[in-house]
Amino acid sequence: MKITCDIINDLLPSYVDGVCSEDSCKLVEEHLHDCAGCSQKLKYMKNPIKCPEYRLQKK
Amino acid sequence: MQDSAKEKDIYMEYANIVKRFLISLSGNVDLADDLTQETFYQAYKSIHRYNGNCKMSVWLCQIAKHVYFDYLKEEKHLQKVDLDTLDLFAVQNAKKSYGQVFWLRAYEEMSFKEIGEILGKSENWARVNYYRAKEWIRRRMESDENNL
Repeated sequence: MKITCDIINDLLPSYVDGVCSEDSCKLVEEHLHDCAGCSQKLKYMKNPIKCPEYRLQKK
Repeated sequence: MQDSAKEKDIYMEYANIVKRFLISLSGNVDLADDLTQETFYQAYKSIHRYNGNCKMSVWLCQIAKHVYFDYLKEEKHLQKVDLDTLDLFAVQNAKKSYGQVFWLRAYEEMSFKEIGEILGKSENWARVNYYRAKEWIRRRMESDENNL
């Protein structure tokens, strides 16, 4: 079966948190090597985002 | 320590976490206030069942979730739940599970394992939903910036 971007996307959360098995890591890294789209996704996952401000409003 | 003093300590320490969790579930501050009271009432009644296997905050949030679902089961309440009161512009509009997971992770700083326990799902479910929520929020912010 072909390893598609969808499959890699399912693995990326575990990959980025370092809880993937060795085989899954290899699979992800091989795919990332040739896929700019998934590499960009990984970059976004690693980057912090500015959290929306938490404010309680009473109406 | 006397039981009532111990209960007061638990309330002081965890009332805010429980309340914010209930706001993230219900989106309604007044309702969250009421349900927080109910949650602590239930917790005190069954404090002997708390066995220390999870953090106190996780245990209380699990009770809070049941209290909220019991509330929703009373059909007359279904209409009253109001989603605008939480001014978390991105999260409140995201898929409900995204909002809850993102909230518990980013604001309450819980582990994925704890989030899974609270919401009755697996650790991996929590992890995947957190990253999807984060991506959702990132895109949302990007498109907001482009529209300024």
